Amino acid sequence: MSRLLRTLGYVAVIVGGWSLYVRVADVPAYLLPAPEEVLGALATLVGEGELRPHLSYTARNIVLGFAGGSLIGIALGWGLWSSRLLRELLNPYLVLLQAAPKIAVAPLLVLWFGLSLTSQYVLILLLVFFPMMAATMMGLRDVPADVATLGRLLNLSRPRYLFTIQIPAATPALLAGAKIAVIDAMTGAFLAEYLSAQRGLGYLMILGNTSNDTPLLIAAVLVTVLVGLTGFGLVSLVEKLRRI
Amino acid sequence: MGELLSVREVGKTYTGAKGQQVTALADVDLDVAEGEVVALIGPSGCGKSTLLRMIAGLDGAFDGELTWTKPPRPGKDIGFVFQEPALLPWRSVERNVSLGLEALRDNSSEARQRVRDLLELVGLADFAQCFPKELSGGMRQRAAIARALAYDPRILLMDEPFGALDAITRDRLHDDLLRIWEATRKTIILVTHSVEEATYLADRVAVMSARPGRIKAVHHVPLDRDRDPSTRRLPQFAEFAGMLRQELE
Ligand SMILES: Nc1ncnc2c1ncn2[C@@H]1O[C@H](COP(=O)(O)OP(=O)(O)OP(=O)(O)O)[C@@H](O)[C@H]1O
Ligand SMILES: [Mg+2]
Repeated sequence: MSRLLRTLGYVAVIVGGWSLYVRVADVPAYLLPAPEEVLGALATLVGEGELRPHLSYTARNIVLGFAGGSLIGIALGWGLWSSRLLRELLNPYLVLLQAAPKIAVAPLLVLWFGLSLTSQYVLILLLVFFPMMAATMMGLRDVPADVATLGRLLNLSRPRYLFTIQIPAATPALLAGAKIAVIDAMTGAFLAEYLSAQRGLGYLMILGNTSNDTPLLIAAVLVTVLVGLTGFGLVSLVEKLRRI
Repeated sequence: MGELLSVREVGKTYTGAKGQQVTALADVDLDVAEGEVVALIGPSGCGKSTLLRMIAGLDGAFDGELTWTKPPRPGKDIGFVFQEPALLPWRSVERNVSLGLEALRDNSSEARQRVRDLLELVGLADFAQCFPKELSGGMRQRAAIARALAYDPRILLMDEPFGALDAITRDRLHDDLLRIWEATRKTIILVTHSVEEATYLADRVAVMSARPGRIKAVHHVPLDRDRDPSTRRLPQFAEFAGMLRQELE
């Protein structure tokens, strides 16, 4: 309850400051509309049933991209951790991938895969798999030496060792990675829509931008932030539930 | 008592990270009979853990011969207790103890009964559903011992199993181990730093010398198998422990 009040307090400060600033500094509405105008735009979006398809489109892309990217990342992380050869072979690429701003390849993806869903997913997967792969490798390193020895003494098969020891031991690291990956998934989804889509929250932002409808633009940004907070909150929730 | 294991002229040379050679063990001979408790004692770094890991089948790269009367079946015949409990924190005590049985896909009612009996034996019956973090250090180590016994291994290997415990808890676990031996008659190889521990628990004590590790002497403990805390006050106890201590110097 007190947390809810505190959150509301924070929101009130932001909205209040925003409202005051717009009035006192006399900011033109096309740069920064007053909060009530944005709220109006949001209400229109919701009321005309326009928000829902865009929101669910983006949310679906995020969820699928996050799930797919996580699977790829975990599998790759496990493979790299298990095989020294693979690790040494792929290391230069991994360093490259880690250092390169992955967003920079977005225009290339559009070029190769066109303005399609494929290029959107490729971008999201590319962003998501890396933190998950790194987290998996870190998590697997967290298996204590004695426990690894125990696995050998009990003659655990590889899959059994994976499921009874490695994955549970790596779960804290995986969740930490998921927090980063979920944000990356959203970045990827919005960026992809910004570049190419005809639907989604990213598209709404473009629409707001090109039609000089600043309230719409800001409303879309706000919804986006909310989606981001929700994703992050869900992962944090899983983390908290585990600790109980 | 039949012969179980014989170690003949076993040697081990590690190659360090910088390529230097470290001879951990040289010409080690040791016989272990079925049902006996052998203590391995020696200065730090003399190769006790190395020898134990070889016997456990964790390290196949060594010189010499290790002969079993019946070769141990993987995952079935070796019970191992580490210095730290090494329990899985996300599993209850009961599920930790039954890990080896799970690996053997044995979920028969006898297996489950066996886990319950073992928890009873180590005094953890009331804590079966607790998680490791809810137990004291001594209780965790008891759970680790129960885990090592759960699949009824032919031999129990213990690498300084009480080394991380305080003196009072250690004494109590010594008595627990005597009780466990009484109930199961397992063959036990126990690595230890403590001459009192070796004297109190073992039938025979193998004293090792420092690098390269060799077995300097093997002594029969001159005490009845029936032991209890009063045994520690016997003159033979002090005398034998003193002799071991002298030999280690
Ligand atoms: N993996 C390894 N690589 C290189 N050298 C090793 C390795 N493991 C052990 N050694 C060396 O072998 C020797 C024996 O080690 P070991 O762990 O068996 O001794 P220990 O008798 O168990 O000692 P402690 O009583 O301290 O546990 C030591 O000198 C150690 O430096
Ligand atoms: Mg050791």
